[in-house]
Amino acid sequence: MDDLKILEAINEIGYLLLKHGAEIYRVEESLKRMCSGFGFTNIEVFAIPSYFTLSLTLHDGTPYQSSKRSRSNRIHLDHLYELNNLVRKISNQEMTLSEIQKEIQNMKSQNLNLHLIFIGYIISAAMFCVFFGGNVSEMIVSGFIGCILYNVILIMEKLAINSIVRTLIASMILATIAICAKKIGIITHQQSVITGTLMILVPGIAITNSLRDIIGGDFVSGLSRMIEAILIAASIAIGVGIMMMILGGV
Amino acid sequence: MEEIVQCLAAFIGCFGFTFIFRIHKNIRFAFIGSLIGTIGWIIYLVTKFLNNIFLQSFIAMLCISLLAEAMARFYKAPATIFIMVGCFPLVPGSGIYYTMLYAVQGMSELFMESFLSTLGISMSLALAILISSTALQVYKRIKLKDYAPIE
Repeated sequence: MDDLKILEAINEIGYLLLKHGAEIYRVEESLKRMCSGFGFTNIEVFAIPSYFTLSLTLHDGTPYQSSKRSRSNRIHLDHLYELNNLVRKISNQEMTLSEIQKEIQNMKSQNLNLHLIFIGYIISAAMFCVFFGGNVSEMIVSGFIGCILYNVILIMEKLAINSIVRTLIASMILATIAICAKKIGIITHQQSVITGTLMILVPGIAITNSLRDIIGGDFVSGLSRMIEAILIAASIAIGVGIMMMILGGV
Repeated sequence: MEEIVQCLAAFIGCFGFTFIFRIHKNIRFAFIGSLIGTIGWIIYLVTKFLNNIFLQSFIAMLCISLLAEAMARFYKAPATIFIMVGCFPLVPGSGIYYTMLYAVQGMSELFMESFLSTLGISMSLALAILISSTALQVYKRIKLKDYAPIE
C-alpha cells in the first residue's frame, strides 16, 4: 500500500515537470532516478511533450504500470527549479513520503501572481521597443500594447483557444494598434514598436526546448515542439502581414 | 551611447520576460538570466568587426549557453531557466518584421533576402545551443569516466 502512495507522488512530480516545461530527458531521467531511489526494479519510462508512461516491478514482485496526460503545458520556471530540487532530494532518499506529499501540495496550492506577469508584459514590450531603436513616445505605445496583449491573451487562455489562433489574433492586435498610432501621428516609426512587442509572442522557448530534446535523443518530442515553434512563428508573420496589408501601413 | 542604451534596454527587457515565465520567487535567477542575455548582446556588438551577422549570433549564443550551463552547475538549477531568458536579445524579431513588410509590399528580392537571413540567424542560434550542450555532455562523461559501452 505504501508503495502505491509513493508511486502516486512520483507520478504527480513527473506530471508537474512535464506541465511546467521541462525537457523530455529531464522528465525521464527524474522519474527513473526517483523510482530507483526507492528500490523498484525494471523501471521503464517513456515521455513525449504531453504524455508519459511509467512501468516497473514493485517490491513484492507485482508489475505496476501508470501513465499521465498533460494537455496544456505552461512554462513555470519557479516550479521547475523547485521540482528539480525535490527530485534530487528524493533520489538521495532524504525525504519521507509525508514530506514529499506536503511539498507537492504546497506547490499546487500556490497562487499565481498575475500582477507581476502584467508588469512583465509592459516592461518587456516597452524595453524591447527601446532595444530596437524606439524613442520615448514609441516606448509608451509599446507599453500600452503590452498591457492590451496581457488582457487579450488572458481572456483567450480562459476560453482555451489554441496557441496558434491565439498568437495570430494577438499579432493582429499589436500590428493594428502600432499602425493606427502611426496614422494618428503619435509615433514616427512603427518598426520598433511592432518588433518590440512581437518579442512577447516569439516562440524562443519552444525552439530552445525542441533543440535540447533533439540533443537528448528524443527526436519525436523535438520535432513536435519544433513544428509548434515554426507554426507559431508563421502565425505571427501572417497576423502582422494581414494587418499591414489591410491598413496599408508601410 | 546608443549601444549603452541598447544593453540597458536588453537587461530590463529580459528582466520583464522572467516575470512572464513565472520567476516570481527566485529573483536572483531572474537577475543572472538577464545579465547573461546582456553579456550575449555585448559580445554580439563587440564582434561587429567580423561583419557577418550569422557568425556574430553564433558566437554570442555560444557564450550565452556556456554561461547558462556554468550557472546551472553553480546553482544546481536547470540550465533551461537561464537559456530561455538569455536568448531573447538575439532572437531575430526585426527579421520577421522586415520579411513580412517586404512580402506585403511585393518586393520579392528583398523578401527572399531577409527571409533567408532570419532563417540563417535562427539556424546559427540553434547550432550554438547544440554545440554547447553536447560539449557539456562530453565534458561530464570524461570527468566521471563514464564511457558508453560499444556494442
